[in-house]
Amino acid sequence: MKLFNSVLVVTSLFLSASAFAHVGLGSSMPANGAMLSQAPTKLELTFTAPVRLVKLTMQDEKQQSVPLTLPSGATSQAAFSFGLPVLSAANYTVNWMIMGDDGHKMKGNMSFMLHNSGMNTHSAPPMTMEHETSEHTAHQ
Amino acid sequence: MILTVFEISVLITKWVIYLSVAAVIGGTLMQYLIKGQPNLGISVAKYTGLGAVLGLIAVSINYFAQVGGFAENGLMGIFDAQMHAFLWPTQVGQTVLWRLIGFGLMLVASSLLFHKNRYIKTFSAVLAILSCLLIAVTFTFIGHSTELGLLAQGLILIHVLIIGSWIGAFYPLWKLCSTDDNIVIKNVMDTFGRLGIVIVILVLLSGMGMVWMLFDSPTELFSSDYGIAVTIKLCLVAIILLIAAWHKLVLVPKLTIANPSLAKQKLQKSIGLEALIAVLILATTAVLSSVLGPMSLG
Ligand SMILES: [Cu+2]
Repeated sequence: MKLFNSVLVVTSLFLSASAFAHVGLGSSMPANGAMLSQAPTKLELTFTAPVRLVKLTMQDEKQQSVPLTLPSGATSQAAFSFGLPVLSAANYTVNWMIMGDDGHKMKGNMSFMLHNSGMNTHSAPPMTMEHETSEHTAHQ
Repeated sequence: MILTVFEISVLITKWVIYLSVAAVIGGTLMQYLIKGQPNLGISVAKYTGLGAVLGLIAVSINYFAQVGGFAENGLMGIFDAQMHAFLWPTQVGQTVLWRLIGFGLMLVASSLLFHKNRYIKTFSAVLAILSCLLIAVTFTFIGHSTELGLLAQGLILIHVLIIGSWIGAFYPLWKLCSTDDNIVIKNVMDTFGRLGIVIVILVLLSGMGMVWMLFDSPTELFSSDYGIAVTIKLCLVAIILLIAAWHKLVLVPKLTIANPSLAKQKLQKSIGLEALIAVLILATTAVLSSVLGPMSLG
């Protein structure tokens, strides 16, 4: 029983850690944390391994969603590309949820900022943007 | 990180699935080693039957918990039709389907074993082997080894079959120690001990092979969460190996010399301890194969 208890303690200890290295977002266009002066026409996501995209949302800071069309989940792929409508200046956050080939669920987000293109002269304020976070969660 | 109800359900049911797989595979192997012991044969058939039933239940709950986890829509999310439609055609659904078929076959095989007819008995044995193979193959459909290619999938197949035969044999062996005939016990333990060498070598080779592929550097075994979980598992494996060696070299030879009944009791207790550690090993495996991910895939 003593052994069982210590295993429980150790298990709960390492479960409290927040970051799990796993399949995640490798790179994106626009890059995470990018500050753009020209509206992107495409959103490109590249994951570190082939995945199925389960959910994807893109919102500005006022929670206004940008419509995106998800590919059918028939096969897994590493790179995804989405056409974007004309974006206005805002702070955009992209939330993704994927299933890796191992059957595990992973999710995370990335964000970028679009400046008003007419205001190129103004210097950017110090940014406090969300860092990319991802977690590897229970799955078979 | 706090685990959700779904993640905890997935973890626990996965653990039960592992235990059931071990019961099914180890019990099937033991049916051969204890031939000529009809009473024991019946309790082992009950054991594989119970493993099959638990397996069927755990696989089903596990699937619904996964759907609920993806749906992120509260408890009713387990019935999310869209998520079912998404998951069922993928490797997750395929794994569920083949595991249900595998455990179902084992349930049939276990009940047919009680039959007097020789042909039906043979049919039952064929079904049992088919069931073990089917269930073991599903481990190549999902999990971290799938992201590493064919070699890793081959290793996991061997690993599951071998570790299942080993861990799943503990209960039948423990039960065997209650029989009166020490010569029988010694014979079966000797055969199992000889098999044991092959088992240990294959378990270690396949396990080390996978660790080698999943880790970029040995330091990850201590620095990452996944590595620490693997290290805990390896320590438990080391303990169980020591106990197995003690059985083979000390306890089993004593069975037929001085004070055999005491040796028998000691052996039974010690097999019980082995089984307990095996249960912990499977719990660690459930954790590292579901809530943690290897660095190499990051
Ligand atoms: Cu994973």
